[in-house]
Amino acid sequence: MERDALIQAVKEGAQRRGIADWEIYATAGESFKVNVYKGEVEDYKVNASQGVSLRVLQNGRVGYATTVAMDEDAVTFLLDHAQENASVVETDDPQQIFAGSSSYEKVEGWYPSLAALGADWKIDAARHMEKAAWAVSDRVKSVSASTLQSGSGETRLVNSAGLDLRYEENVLFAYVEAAVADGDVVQTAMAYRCYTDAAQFSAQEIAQEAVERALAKCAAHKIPSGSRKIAMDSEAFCDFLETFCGVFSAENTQKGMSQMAGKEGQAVAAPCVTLMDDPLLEKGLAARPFDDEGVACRTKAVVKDGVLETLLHNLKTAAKQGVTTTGNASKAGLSAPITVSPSNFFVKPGVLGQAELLAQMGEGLLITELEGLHAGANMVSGDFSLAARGFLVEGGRKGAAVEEITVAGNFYQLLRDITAVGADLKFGMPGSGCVGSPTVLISALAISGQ
Amino acid sequence: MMTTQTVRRVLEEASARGADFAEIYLEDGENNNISMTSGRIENALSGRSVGAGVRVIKGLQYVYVYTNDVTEQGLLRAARQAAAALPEAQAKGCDLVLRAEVMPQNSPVRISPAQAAIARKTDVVRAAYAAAADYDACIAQVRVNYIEWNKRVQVANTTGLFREDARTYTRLATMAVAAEGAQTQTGFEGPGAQMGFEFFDTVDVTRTAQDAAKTAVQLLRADLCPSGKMPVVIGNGFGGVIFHEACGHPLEAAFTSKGESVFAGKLGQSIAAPCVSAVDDGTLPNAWGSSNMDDEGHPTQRNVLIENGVLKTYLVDYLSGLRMGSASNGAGRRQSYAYAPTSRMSNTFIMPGNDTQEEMIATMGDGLYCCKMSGGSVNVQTSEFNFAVSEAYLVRGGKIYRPVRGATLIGKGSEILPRIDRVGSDLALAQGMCGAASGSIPTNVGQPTIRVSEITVGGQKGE
Repeated sequence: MERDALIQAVKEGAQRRGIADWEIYATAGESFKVNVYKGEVEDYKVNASQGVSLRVLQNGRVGYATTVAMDEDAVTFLLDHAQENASVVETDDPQQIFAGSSSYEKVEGWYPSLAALGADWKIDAARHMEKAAWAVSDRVKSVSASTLQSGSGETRLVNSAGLDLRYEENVLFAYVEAAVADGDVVQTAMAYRCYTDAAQFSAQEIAQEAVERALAKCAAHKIPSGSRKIAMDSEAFCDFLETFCGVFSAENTQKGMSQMAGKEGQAVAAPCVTLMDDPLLEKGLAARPFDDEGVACRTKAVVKDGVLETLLHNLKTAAKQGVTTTGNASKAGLSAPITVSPSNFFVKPGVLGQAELLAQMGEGLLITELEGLHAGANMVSGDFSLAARGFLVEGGRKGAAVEEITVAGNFYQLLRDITAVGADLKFGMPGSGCVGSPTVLISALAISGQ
Repeated sequence: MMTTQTVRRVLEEASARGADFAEIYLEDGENNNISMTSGRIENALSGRSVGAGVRVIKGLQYVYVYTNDVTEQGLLRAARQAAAALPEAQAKGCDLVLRAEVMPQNSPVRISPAQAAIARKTDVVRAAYAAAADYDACIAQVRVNYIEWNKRVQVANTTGLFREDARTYTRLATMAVAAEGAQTQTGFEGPGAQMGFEFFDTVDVTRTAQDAAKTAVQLLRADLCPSGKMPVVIGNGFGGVIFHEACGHPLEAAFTSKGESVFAGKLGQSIAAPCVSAVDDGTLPNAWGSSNMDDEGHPTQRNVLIENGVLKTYLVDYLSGLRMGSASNGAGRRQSYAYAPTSRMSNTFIMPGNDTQEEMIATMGDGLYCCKMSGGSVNVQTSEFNFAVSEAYLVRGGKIYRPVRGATLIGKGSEILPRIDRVGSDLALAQGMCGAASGSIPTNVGQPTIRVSEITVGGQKGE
């Protein structure tokens, strides 16, 4: 069954069963990936997938069902299960099927230059990256990934309140992972780029960055434990902020899972910190005109000059708190329930470059990599203790590499301990939202080493 | 599901341009999730997942194409796309004789998820919720997730293999949040098995939920963990995540066959202390990480990875096996049709020894007893690992002194394995989801209580 026919059949089925409030969230997409190893295409993946998720509202309760099988049974499966699921839900949360915003901003997520790239171009690009990586240094031991990945997708939202919205997007990623000899052992590093314009691609740039990063990690020092002044570079702080960005979700504050509850209007961070959520950001990888409930997206400061301006809301959390939704309703995947997540979420950059920030810090550590964020960081308590790598900072300059350390602290305290924010804003890979940050300085964190 | 005739057509189409090997994997499954928070059932979700993946291999190159369209036309289209990605060559004409087999079920299901009414499932969720919420006045929030999924899987390839398997998983996860003043802490327990609803006859739901609450409450009263190098005793069950990360992943043939693991080329060599023996066993009945066959159609087996400290074998999937000149040992796994298979763990654990936890702690001097772990990760090329400790106690002069929180253990697997100096007799397995190249798959980690003579502990207390 074609997708539009399935949507029509679900519509008719809902009517027949007397389900007044329903919403269909449908996705269709294609993806491509090629990895080159020793000059040959080693792995090559293509796919086309689609799916339909149904949400029904019955006696004020929501039930969900999802299918990727577009067969004759799909309509019955969706309606039966969504109705049964709604019948066991007990929350009295104010739920609604949204009739639409008065207007939607135009957001461009579809990049024609990416859509025009063929498989051969991508294979060549991956070959070039691998070759370039080997050429950077004779200490390269292996290039374990030289990968080009592209994807395109369409999201469609159709509901009983008359809404019918569509958004199309596509993206291109490239990454290289290389290992270099460091005495008897190896050091590995990765570099990646996301593109909105194929002309920006440079095999040399990514390859060089991956190998140089691995080389920089060689001859690393072990350092004694103690409290130190910290600079976190853009990538490390992006990973860190992504792990903890759930604290700004009203879904979490309302359930007692975030300590930001009730803090609107209060200082929660140092005055130099402004956190933006900008779904309309030009070329932002999490840009979108409407959220997963069909509400028009808008740009806002979540934290402004250290003060919590707003939490992120969907229709339900906003109604519970008596405020207007911020347009951050989000499904973590086709079959996931509607929750809240940021879009392009970033620390607003300052004016100083990384070198100037290090000069300002004088002595301390520059953290460039954090590991174990999925297990070693607790959003509810804010506590974290993470394996890290980086460089000593001595006399205001980046010095020797440092390994086998952990960095530990508490996120809520850390926000207050930020002493400066750099100008070098960069975004990480998109996940649930896309997080960006420049280098930031932190007054102190506990370091464990020797 | 596919008929023999469809499978033959698809495999012929996939190898029409000279592939050395072609494979079709198809799955058809359903899943249900129920969650409870703030005292009410909050969400109930159902899903149906159907799809197929065609893989062709030429030399050591592979192409993978997947689709949700599992009609014969859809499968043939995927097969043609896969074949077209290979350089043009003469098809190796051969008459494909498929041997259709249904795998004997080693993890029988008594009450299939569809047979259990949804009200029975919500009752289990409520029971866990109440047990955690009522544990202590400090419990501020509880989240309970009931998770079940089942799938039928078919795998066929140009060696003539055509096997079908069925898998059913049930899990209950409880997270408790304890709060007092400005302090908030969490505890988690998530037992699961390859069983139907009868799983709840085998697990004490109340106790599981109380354990999650107990961890959260205890952490509230715990001091910050100090940092530095020290001896560490790691508790049984989920403590095995250290072995999973520090040793299991680097033994996956996808890495070792390319020389991209710290343990590559070390078969027959001593890589761990002599008291350490470890296995990966996909055949354990009803275990979370088991299956009757792997996702390449090879029967799972018990693989001895390390025997008395000596490396005996890697975890080998078909393609890595080609690269290293050895056969698969049933370790080719994938989350779903959306992933090409690669070498993965199943139920991986350190074998029991003769030591006791009491003696280990009494003779360790000053150190840390990590009784519960929460997860970690590893760089297989360097074997650098990290993992988070969810419940730990400082040991002073051989005696448990006081609870501490926020500890992380880091190091290199190659350096830690030789430093294991005690292995207890209390082997236990614990359930986790392992994420890697071929997706997120159910795996058991496990070990008896062990002691490592020295490891770097990271904590918030700057001392």
